[in-house]
Amino acid sequence: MERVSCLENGAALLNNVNLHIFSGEIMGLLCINDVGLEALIGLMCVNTPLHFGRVYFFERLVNDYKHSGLDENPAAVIERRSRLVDSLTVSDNVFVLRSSFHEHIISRREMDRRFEAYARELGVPIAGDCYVDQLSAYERCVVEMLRAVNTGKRLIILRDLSSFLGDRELAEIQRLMARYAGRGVSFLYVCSHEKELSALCDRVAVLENGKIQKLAERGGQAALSLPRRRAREPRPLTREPDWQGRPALSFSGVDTPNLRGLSLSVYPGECVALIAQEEEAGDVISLALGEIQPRRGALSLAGKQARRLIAGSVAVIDEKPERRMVFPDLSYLDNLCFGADKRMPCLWRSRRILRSVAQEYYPVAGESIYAADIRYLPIKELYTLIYCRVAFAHPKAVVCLKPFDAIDLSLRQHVMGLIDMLCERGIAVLILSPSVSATSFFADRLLTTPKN
Amino acid sequence: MLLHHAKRYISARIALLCTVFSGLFILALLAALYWVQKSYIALLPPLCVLALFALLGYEYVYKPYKETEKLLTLFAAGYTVEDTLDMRYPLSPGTEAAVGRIRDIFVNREFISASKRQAQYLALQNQINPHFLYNTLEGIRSDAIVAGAQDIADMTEALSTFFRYTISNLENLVSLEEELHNVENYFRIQQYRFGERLQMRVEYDEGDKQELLRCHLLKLTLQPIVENAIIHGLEQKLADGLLRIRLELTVTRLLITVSDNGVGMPEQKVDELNAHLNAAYFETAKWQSSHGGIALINVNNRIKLLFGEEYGIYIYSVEGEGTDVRVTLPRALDDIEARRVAEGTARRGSV
Repeated sequence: MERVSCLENGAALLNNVNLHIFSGEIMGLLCINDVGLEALIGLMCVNTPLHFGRVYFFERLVNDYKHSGLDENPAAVIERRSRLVDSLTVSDNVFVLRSSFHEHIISRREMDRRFEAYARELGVPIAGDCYVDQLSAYERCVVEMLRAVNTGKRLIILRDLSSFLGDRELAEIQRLMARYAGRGVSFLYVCSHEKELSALCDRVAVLENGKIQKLAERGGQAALSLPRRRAREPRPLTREPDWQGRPALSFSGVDTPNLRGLSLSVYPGECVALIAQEEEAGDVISLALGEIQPRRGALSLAGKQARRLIAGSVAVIDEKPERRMVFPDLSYLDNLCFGADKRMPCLWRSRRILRSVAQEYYPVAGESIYAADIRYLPIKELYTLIYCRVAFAHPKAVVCLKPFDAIDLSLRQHVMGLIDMLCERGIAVLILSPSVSATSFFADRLLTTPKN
Repeated sequence: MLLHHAKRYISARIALLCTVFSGLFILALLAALYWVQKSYIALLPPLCVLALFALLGYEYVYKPYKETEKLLTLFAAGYTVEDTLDMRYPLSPGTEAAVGRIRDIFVNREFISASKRQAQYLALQNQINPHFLYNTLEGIRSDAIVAGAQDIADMTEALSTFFRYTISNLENLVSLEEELHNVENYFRIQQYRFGERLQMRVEYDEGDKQELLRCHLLKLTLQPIVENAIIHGLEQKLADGLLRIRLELTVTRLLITVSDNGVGMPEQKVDELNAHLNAAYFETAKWQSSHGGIALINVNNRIKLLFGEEYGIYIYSVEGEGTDVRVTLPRALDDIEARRVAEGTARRGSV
């Protein structure tokens, strides 16, 4: 891509982007923020109109600011959202659903046999006759990669795999990537975790504000020298957890449909990261919300044992909370105080209390705390609102589901600051994530379930 | 908006007239047909014909008009020159003639000459006679050898070699090997000043080495970039200054990346420089020498003028982290091939 600029409603999504990806290369894309990311990936897949610049595939001009054919390029995207047809089998998706398939009679056995030979060669135990909706996230990614290669795609874009795959599964995917890279397929690995990119990629491009700011290449050492100022360096820990007292939240030998003998304790002011798969994380959240009780084992909250936690005693912050944890029709202050009337029954009757809350959280939220309409607030302000609401409710513990996954670097740094705020107020924070990358240097302790 | 534009632009008046006329015509036709046939079904054939005319009008009038309009807008914004002078759908015979006249004025050779003069001016800013300079340096070198000051003799020889290469005819296309020798020579001179504080490394795939060194490019493409990297990037570093020149060859391109681990540039300055590097070459004619980056812009202009607008220079930089300057050139394995690319570019821009 040379000097590519894209505009939307007069705003520059991509500004003078220059990017070269060679055949058989694993190129990383570190997103400081997500401005222009969708446009960049979109342009790689489909030749949509450009404001300026040129796009080449195999050095053949495919898109030009003078003329865009709106045709597809040999590129595929693998991300959390599946692009397979769930109601068909794996071999149907890989062999049948492609434009070059012209056979009129389909031998299912033959296709399944071909797929299984394919999978065996790659060391991937997936049956060809298995339906896609029965596959795990990892298996689905593998099938999508096989399909992309089989349909002649030469550039495979992988987005935020660590937000839904565990480390072991990521390692397997990376092994497949290295194998296909050796055969000339190129990969663009998109994520906002610099350690993950350094370990895997031949080169890394840093994308910020719709521009490629820097290209990091492997020097004499194996590691890439990524811009340090952009990367979140290991922070000096300012938290002082109260390890002498009772744990705020504790699981002892807990058994649920997806957990086996889980034991952990989180102390007030501590941040613990639990590396868990999606199903395991779901069970932990259900326990925290009091929706289920463990088949075996015990739960305790602030030292008090319970078979089932009381709903609302532990706060839960969802993944991408700005979508479901704000009330767009309420003002900022109303959102902040939502649910706090259980603790303060006279909250809504007293303007003085509301003013006092606004004053208390003004240093964190800024002028936005007086916003009557939150629909047009930037995403960082919405995150601040959600975390301030939790802080105001002052639960003993908070469970955060994938707080750093699939968000850009600057938002991630902001969320880290918000979690620190919770810890400083003596709230125990339990982070659930499938991947070690984001949490390893941030959490006070790192735990993994036996599966991981 | 159309009414507002119609006050000034003929294209808007035509569009307004066509819209009003077409609308009235269609209404009249439909009313007449309905009055005659007393049936809505009878309107279908004429509606189909009208739809066909609308489609033809869109494909053969509106779309070409939009393409030409876009080229002219980009020309006015300073993005491109060549493609405007070679537009596919001129608006009228008069427009085509006017563009041809502009093409005559902007003939590439004149700009190459102006740019070359600018480069010569930079190299000869003290108006020194080259032969006088070489002879003087040779004299100093001889005295240094006699006096046993080998360092001074080596440095003088390097300086003399550097000036011989730099000041001589700038029209030459040289091989990458020669250009790299000049850069290494220049670096040796700088290292005399910086010592071990500064290192340089040239990197490439061993398998491509023979072809890489045969590639031809304009003389003095790399040295100004290396000079910039040292002066603006590495000079302020206390230690471990590293300059990397990475050479990569593809089927149609030669990619040269000059990277330093120096102080980098603020984002605003990078954007400004890249905007100027991206702009049409005549836009930078009034760029004052007091602005930083004049050397880069000069190199960029010469590359674009000779080889085409799709080649040139781009800068990546992060403050505190260093700068990468990426030069994109056509892959020309000998002098003849390079001239063929250049002639192709000149033909696109000439009558």
